[in-house]
Amino acid sequence: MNKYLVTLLTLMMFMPASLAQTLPAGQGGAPMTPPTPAWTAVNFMLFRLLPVQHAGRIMPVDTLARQTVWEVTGKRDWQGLDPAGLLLAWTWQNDAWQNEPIILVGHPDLQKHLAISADRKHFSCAELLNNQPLHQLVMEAQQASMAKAALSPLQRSAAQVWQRLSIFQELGQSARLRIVPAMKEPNGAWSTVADIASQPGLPEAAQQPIRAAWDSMHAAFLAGDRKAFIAAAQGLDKTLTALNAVGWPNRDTTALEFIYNWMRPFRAGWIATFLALAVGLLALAWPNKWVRRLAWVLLLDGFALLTTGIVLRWKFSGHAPLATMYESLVFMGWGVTIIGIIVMLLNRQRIAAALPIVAGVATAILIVADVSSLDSAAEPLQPVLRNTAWLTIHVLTIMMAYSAYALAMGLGHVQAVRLALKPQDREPTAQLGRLLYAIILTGCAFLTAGIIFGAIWASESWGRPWGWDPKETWSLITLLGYMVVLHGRRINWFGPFGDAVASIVCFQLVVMTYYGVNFVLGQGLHSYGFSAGGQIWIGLYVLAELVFVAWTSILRRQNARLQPSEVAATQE
Amino acid sequence: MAPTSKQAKAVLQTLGSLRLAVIVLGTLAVVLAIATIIESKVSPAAARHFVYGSAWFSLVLLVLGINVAAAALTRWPWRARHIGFLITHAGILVILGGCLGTNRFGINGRLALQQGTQDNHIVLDDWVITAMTGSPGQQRAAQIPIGQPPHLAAAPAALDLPGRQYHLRLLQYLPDAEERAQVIDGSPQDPAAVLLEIQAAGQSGQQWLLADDTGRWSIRTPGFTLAMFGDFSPQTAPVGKGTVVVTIDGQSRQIDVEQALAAPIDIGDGHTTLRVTEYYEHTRVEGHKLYEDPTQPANPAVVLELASGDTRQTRIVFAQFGDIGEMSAMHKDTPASPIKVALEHPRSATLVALVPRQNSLTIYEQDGGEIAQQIDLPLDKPVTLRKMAMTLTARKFLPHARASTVIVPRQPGQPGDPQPAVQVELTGDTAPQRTWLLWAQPASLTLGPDTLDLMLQANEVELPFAIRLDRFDVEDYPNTQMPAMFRSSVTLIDTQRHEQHKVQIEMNRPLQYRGWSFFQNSYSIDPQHRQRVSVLAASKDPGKPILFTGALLLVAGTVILSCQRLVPQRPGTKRPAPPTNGSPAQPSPGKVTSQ
Repeated sequence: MNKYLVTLLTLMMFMPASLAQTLPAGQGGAPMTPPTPAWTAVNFMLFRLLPVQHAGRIMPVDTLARQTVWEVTGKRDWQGLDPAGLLLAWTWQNDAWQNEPIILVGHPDLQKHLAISADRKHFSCAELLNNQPLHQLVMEAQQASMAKAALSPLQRSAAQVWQRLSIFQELGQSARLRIVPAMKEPNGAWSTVADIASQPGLPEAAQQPIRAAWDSMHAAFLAGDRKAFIAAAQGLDKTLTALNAVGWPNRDTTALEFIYNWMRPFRAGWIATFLALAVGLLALAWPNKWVRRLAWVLLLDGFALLTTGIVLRWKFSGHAPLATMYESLVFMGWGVTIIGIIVMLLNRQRIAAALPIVAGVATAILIVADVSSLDSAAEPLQPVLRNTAWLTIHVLTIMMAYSAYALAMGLGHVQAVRLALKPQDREPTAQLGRLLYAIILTGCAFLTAGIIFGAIWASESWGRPWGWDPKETWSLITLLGYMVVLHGRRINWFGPFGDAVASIVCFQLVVMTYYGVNFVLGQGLHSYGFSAGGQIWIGLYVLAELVFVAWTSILRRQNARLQPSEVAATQE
Repeated sequence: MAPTSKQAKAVLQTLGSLRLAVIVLGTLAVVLAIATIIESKVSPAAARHFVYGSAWFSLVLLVLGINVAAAALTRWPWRARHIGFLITHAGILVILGGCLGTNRFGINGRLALQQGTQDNHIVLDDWVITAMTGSPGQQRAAQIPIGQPPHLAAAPAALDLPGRQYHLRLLQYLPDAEERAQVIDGSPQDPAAVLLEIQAAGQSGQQWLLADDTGRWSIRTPGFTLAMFGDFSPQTAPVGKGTVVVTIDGQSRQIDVEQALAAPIDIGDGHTTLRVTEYYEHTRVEGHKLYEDPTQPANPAVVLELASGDTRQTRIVFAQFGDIGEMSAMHKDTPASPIKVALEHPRSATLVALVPRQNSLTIYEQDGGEIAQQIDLPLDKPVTLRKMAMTLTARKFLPHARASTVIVPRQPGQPGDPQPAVQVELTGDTAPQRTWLLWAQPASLTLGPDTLDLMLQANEVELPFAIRLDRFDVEDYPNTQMPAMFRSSVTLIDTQRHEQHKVQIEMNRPLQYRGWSFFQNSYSIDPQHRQRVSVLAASKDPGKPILFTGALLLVAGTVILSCQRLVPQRPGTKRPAPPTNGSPAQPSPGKVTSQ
């Protein structure tokens, strides 16, 4: 590869990353009314790199700060303020923030029920804490969940608002920043500076410097003293490191997480693939060597970003990023790009339409992961997923299969439209048909292996290799569906158009296995890593696909009537 | 070629055809989809019974196996390009074979252990009825498997006991049942019974009264008796000073007051004696003292002393109020006494006696030894008592009746584990006999000369070693309530091989020993953390090696097959046309075709 290309690639790698930073995270909040706090002058960099224990794992303060801002305000970015600064402000100046509208309600019916303004989405603690209807709803929600009854939408959002409130209150009680490491056990509980005395194995003499450093940080924060804050944060870092605690993490790992947070590689990834899609479409309209190359570079860039993101996340979370729906969706986007790239490289015909399809499918999946309300936080593993390499092997293989099927679904759309519009157009569609076949075959190889790996894991974890669990059964149904397509193709039962439609229809089986089993059937053992919601969107997607299939079929029939002889020729 | 051979080949071609493959694969997919819907909407057991475990489902799998095998055979003679295809399809066949082995010989069960206890019995999902006969010391037992609930086997099963053969048939199954007593028609020597509707204090209820019954079929509370008597002569004068009823652990004993006044009487628990120290017929209470006051209405009471070794308890008992507890302040700290005492006295008692008189009933209401009322009680006509605020209506009268128990479905929402029950019919040389079997409660049936003890229970397998649960722990992620690990610390005790091991069973870390595997399955910890129960899944699966061989073949075959199909063939490689088994679909030259 020549030097320029390397430079270009490096540049391209960071361009979407910086774009990802600037992309608005949602619609802007209310205009900033309070006077700019003194601490905006402070640089929180060192503090953000400090390790902290939260949600059962060790993370940099940076992650905790971002998560807290997200959990309280429902936004990734609160009025352009540094999340670490907000975290400290909510801790140390909690009283002053009690009257700021920062708690997201954002549910029109709930706001109506609570008799609060319908014009904004964010409300202050003071407004919400004294709201009697909210208290009532929260109490009902607690009673309902104790009785294991289903919550009404109103109750559920009230419980969410209450959760946001309690996080904010928890900050006010200095109960969130557990930065004092466990001294006795590697996986022991960390404590906050406030209850430092309760940390077992930490001598009295060692507590004092930590308190002192914390207090000087507090003072510098309130004064907005940039230099003093950096010095205090540095001092705190040194004091904590000098404890040589058994629970103290590898600082490179927390630094990696910090980089990951800054980079937002998965958002950057879909921006790159989206650009690849746009340039790839341009290359179709305007076949130029350089435009085509640019599209390729962008796609490779997206792939590189996704790979970086996955590797980083794997490193800092300590397990393969395949444990939650968000993680598996991102992995699926990555799988689409790598399978697409390999298939395009192997394919001799160099089909021009392939690249935008690959980029388009990857973009769609990644956008779903990024924009949907899926929880993107890296969480500790549930017991059933621990102690085993099969999580990585099984889910990875399965997700590769789904990636291949998603790609086939994308190709199927293009193929179906082509064949519907021009039933006589034989050679290009035959090329695309071969590509489709190759990708489905790849998917089937992965799914077969994935199911079998799952069976091996199940026999080690649940005591039986196969128990007709709904997820198991539906993965088999999916495989059988694609097997019908593969075997039917050999006796030409469905024809090229039928194959294209089948790749779309069979993908609905994947949707059912991946998503529907948990939400439509609501049964079975594979219930981890899923958050509720999205049923309407998935339902709309499936409906749209059905409409698409019906529409192309009708279109094809109409066009075939116009050219009866040629259709007969394609069907032989 | 001989015509038969030709025909055989044609049959093989059809069996191994792609058409059949597509049909079988499609059918299987649809069937499985329906099964998951049944599982979701009805129950996992229903899906298991009607689809996964059914004979016709095995048939579909058999057809799939035949199709796969025939497809491989029709490719004979095999060539290098068949490798992927053959390994894949061989893998499927081996997996199907392995499933057969697992279904036939595999055992899946559970071992629930309370912390500190040990067991060597694996409880399986299917149930059996155990039958035992013979005299003690010469007992013979047999077990009849009846399948998994709620789809128990209804067909008669042979029950072989030495010298005789019986057939046992399942008639009914109740997932949650209880025993309920009732009164039914009896034979001529049986006493009469009446179903009374009783209205008192705004409440009403029904109660069967059986003549001369002193238990469940009469109402007896201190000071009040409502009962039916076969023969009854009203007494006009009170007799004696009544009796003290002493109850220990549900066992009652009557002690005559006259005797207890004279000397202490052993109450039957081996170390306690009872002595009545004071007796009053018309009691007046002033302060903490009792006085005899004949101007008062009848209100009998006794002061009695319970003595056990050096400890003495004094109690006051009124006939109308029951035991009002210990009198002596010295014993305030002593725990509630297990001994309950009550005074039954004819002066205070209200007796309502129902007496049958040729298809009708007479009520005698007697209060404090005096007859208050004597009237007829016709059916469905309410009669109000004089002394008690109570209205009685006779709803049903049986001249000859007996008590019996029936098994009925339990009302939903009651505490405790569900208690299943089945009704079975046993047929031998004599007339068939029916009985209900409540879960794990033996029931006897007499057929001709034999008496059989039947019991409904879960099928069990005895292990050649035992497992003791030393500890069960739930470890949380630090500072959270998120569970990080479930861990059973167990000791494996093998007395046959004189081995003993301490092992930890965690999620994904099973214990394997002598062909058995034990997995952390579930647990229960009561809120007070007093009792911890860990449930281990136990399995033994001789089909597993076959299954995994098949799995390995399948994965390898799929990979080889994909590579063969996907890597572009060098142009000019001449390949013979594939067997098309008469299908009109000649592949077009541009298509990827191999085999």
